[in-house]
Amino acid sequence: MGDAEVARVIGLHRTLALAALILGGAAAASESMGPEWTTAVELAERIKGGQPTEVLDLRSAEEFQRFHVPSAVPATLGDLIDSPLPKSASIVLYGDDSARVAQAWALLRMRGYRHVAYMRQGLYEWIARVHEPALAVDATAAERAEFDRLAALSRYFGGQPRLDVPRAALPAGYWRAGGDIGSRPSVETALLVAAIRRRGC
Amino acid sequence: MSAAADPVALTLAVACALGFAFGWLLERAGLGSARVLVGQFYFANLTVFKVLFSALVTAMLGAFWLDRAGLLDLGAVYVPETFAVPQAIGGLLFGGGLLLAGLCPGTSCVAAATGRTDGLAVMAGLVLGILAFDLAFDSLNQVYASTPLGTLTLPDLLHLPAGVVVALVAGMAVVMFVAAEWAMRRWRA
Repeated sequence: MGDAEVARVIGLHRTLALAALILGGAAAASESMGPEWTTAVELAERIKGGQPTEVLDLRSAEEFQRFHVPSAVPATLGDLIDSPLPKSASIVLYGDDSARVAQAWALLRMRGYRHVAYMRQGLYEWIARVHEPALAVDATAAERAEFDRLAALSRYFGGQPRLDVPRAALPAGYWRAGGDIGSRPSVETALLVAAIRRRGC
Repeated sequence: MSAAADPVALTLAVACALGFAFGWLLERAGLGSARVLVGQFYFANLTVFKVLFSALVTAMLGAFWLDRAGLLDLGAVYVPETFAVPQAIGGLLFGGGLLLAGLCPGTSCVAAATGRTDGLAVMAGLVLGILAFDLAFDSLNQVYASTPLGTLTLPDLLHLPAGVVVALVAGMAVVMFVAAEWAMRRWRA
């Protein structure tokens, strides 16, 4: 290996080490800004518990009218540019377009809002976990206990818990926090879900 | 059913692609050579440490930031459970085997693929070892399932936020890389 090649390799190693340190330091710094995402159940508990939370629905006005998370208000990216919310506000975003939600999240963070989170699976997550939680027919004791908690939460928000759902209708990971909620709602909710254009958020 | 629509076929296809990439990178990093691997134990060649720790730090930073960007759900990633005593015994056996053979399971595949007979011998030993373990499993089961500690992660153990642990590990890696380079220069001098 010639001197030039050695210098190039050393330079590359230093660049990679610097990148690792920067990304590592940013990871530690990001912890002071609160979590980037929240689950529908966490959001429901916050609303029910009376914790001040600004819930912003980033879908169209028509979709908002059809169904939305209780206490949510409709918002566009334009609204967020000069949002009057205080910088200390705790904000939760959701939508049906992950790119728009990510833009809104980044915009608010850049404007100095430190407590901005989003629901990763959008309104659909709210429907599957809070509006219509499901209990498998062969549920374990732990699943039943968790369902009782979710069912009480669901009734608080006017939802309809579902009992004795076939295990196969519940996707793997349904009971895990943040797990996949799948795409098997009841017939009634299927109509609602069909109306929600879910594009990965 | 097309591979794109069948999650099992897709998973296997991705696993094959990752396996080829892993083997290729191990070979390119020189880890198909028993001399390079054994050099680790004599502090004569720290390539193994540098390659594997680089991979660990890259994966850690990638997983953390992909999760933060909402592209990966770390909550859905399987974390193997800890069984303290059997895993300590397994670690000692693995280390002893690595020192004796000069190859670990992955690098033995790489060595065998490049035509090294020591790689083929280690792979044969692996298969025989798996067979022997399977046949003796009933009598080993008591030890195998002992001291279960559940799923443990560094943030849980240290009671620190994940981002802080990520920063600590990244910083530690850089310090150790510098120390490894210094040690190797001293050894060569």
